[in-house]
Amino acid sequence: MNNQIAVYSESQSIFDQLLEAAGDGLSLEFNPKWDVAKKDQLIICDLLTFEDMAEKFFELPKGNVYVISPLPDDENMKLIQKYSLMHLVGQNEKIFASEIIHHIKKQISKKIWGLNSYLDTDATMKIISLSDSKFTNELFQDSLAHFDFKDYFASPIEYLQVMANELISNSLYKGPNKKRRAVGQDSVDRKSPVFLKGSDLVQVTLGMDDKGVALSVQDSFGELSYEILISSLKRSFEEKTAMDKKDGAGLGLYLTFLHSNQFIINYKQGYRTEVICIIDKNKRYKNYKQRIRSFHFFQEVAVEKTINK
Amino acid sequence: MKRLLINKQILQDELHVELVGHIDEDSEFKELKNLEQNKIIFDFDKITMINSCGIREWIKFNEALPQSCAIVYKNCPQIIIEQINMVHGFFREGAVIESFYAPYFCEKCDKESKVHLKSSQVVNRKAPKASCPHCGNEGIEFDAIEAQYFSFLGRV
Repeated sequence: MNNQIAVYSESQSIFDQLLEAAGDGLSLEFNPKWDVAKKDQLIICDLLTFEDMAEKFFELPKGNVYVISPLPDDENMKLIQKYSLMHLVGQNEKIFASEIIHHIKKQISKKIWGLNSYLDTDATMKIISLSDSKFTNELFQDSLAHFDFKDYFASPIEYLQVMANELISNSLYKGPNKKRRAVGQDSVDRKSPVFLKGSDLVQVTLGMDDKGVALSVQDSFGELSYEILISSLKRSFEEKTAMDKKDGAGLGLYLTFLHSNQFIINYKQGYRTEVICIIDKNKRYKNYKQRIRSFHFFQEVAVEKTINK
Repeated sequence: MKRLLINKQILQDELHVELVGHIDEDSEFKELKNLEQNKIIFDFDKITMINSCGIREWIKFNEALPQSCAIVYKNCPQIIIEQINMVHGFFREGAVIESFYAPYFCEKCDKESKVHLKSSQVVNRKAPKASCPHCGNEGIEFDAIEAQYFSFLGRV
């Protein structure tokens, strides 16, 4: 992947904001001829241009295309699903450009895991490692007590509790389902305690800096594929109902998505899944609700080892 | 997890139910089944969290209540209002939401407040005027998107 970024937009202002955010490290081209869009090139596109050129984008790896959208969440979710988008960035004035550039730098660096790329070096961080479902809420609440939310609207603590609860439960109860099935076991009811085996762990990280608060929940299963994620969000957005199944109500990812300003998944099939939720620093609940949510899905492909004889 | 505590008070033909703590997968409403009162008033003031499985358990419990029973929900915190707006069926059709909390912001003291509102105060999904409980400033600003926050009022 190279550092050349093609920007397709009807708006010079969008390009200018991206250029300013990019600084010296990246080279941005404004509306270059399509043949420059090589398979390893990253592309940023506003929604109007993207929909005009959508067929061309199908030729490119999905993970290389960043779409900027001014639409509300439910419309954006339809777009994500229709075009299998991996990066949809809310067109929030003043912040969308730096958000895209940040994610592009993360992608180029190939260091996708953890909160370090989202937080300043002097950020406050707390990490919890879990291998069972006992006291998970209490442990997370203890972690929250180390953070100062005075520059935030009143609800982030409540949201973070819900998000952590949902994501930890998903990791503990759904994460090992494939392993359980492989040995003939059924999924575990959420009412029953669950214990992970061997080196399996769920790691919860909470961090805060001058820009916002970030929650990461990472498991060692790697079962939340793009298809499973989008199928779950699609159902929840369309039906807005709880499902009657024993390992969950089918709403956890949806609620987590709707409580986040940025919702990011890092995924390596069969190895790891990380869900990162970011809430911007903000004193006004109204601003939090008006911000268009962003969605990112990063996939690390397992490298097959070849043995030379 | 703080288990859900259910405090009941029977006043003639009415049952007053105070819910305290978290509503989650372990929340059981068994003690509220097969009651004979014609009216149940649920007070959510002390609910601190509800997760996705809690939403499901609550919906199932509500669906099992007799249709002839009048249901009133009161003192719904913001987190409950948000869930109602995100998930269908949280409050039973035909039920009454008597009162709830809504976020307001005072520019003068730079603080958010959860203001207790009666549903009857919200006309055409417009937030009523409120005063700052911290500094007394009159006319503090409603701090959510009215059409979004009050959408639950058109659903039950």
